[in-house]
Amino acid sequence: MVAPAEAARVSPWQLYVAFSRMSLGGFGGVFPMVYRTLVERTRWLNHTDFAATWAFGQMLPGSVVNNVATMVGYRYAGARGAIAAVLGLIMWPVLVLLAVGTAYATVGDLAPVRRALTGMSAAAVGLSMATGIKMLRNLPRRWRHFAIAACVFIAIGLLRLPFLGVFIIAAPVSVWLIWRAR
Amino acid sequence: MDAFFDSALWQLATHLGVLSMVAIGSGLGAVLPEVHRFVVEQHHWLSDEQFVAFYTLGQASPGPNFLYVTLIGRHVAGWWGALAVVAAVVVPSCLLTYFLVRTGVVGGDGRIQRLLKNGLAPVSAALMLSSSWVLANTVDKDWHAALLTLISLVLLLTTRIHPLWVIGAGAAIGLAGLV
Repeated sequence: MVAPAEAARVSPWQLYVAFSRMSLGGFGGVFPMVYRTLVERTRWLNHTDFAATWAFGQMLPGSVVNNVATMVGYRYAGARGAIAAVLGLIMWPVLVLLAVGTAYATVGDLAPVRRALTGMSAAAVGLSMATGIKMLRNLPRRWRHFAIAACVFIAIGLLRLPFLGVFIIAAPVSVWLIWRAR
Repeated sequence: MDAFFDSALWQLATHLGVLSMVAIGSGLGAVLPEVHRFVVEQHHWLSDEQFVAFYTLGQASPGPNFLYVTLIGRHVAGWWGALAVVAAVVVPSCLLTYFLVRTGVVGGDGRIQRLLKNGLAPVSAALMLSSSWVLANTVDKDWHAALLTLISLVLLLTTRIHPLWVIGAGAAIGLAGLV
């Protein structure tokens, strides 16, 4: 799945346009748009390829969707394709956010804006929790998995221990425990 | 040159850059508690309210969720701060991914990838829950806000409603002075 594709070639420009549309159409998470565009509309990836690419993207450091853009861009148009895809993905949202930031700096202190943002934030926390709970529900029903999750949640969420230290210990331990349990 | 390395822009960009390279298995949503600790508690660049507002505005704007860091960068160090933070978060991981794909390290039969993905899944879930817990502690200061969070959570778990509607409804409820 990772070598530049033999059959179809897609131009960097096409990649740029496609990823721009995905990112601008993706509110509150771009995953559904990325799937729809890559698998259903352009058919650059089939379902299996997409699942594998997404899994690789999750395993590598950084934003998952950025990694997916890099891989898909490279696959179809080499280095220029990777740059085009990533630029398409982030350029427009960053411009929108710069405008949003300027607006916030201007009117963010006004009472109605603060009230609206408080309500939005309370709802957005629910969204973030729902994502976490869905991830938890997708774990295998084994005590080992839930014990690891509980330890990490207590360390980071409740005790607020430093992230780097906890992660550097928890990640290898978790991988080892689950590998042993196969 | 020392002044540059002491600047908020440099410290923020390098810290977020390092975090982006550590966040494996889950993407950048998982490092939110650390971002909050760094910019709010340690450096006092943002208030709690501003941090939550930026996170929320990032969720409600189009594009990948992690780009809320653009707003933090802009607030801390202006437009250059925004661009530096985005570059710090995006460029290193993209280069690494590119390098690994090119050299064929990523690929093959995917056994190592599967092992890592399965092995890190509980950690990723816990980090995501920690992120939302830290946010909830900052946002849900009274039972009105906590109730709104709970309703949003239940709706998103039990229906196929689009998240943007839930956040929009939250804005309307807030504007009406109910939270």
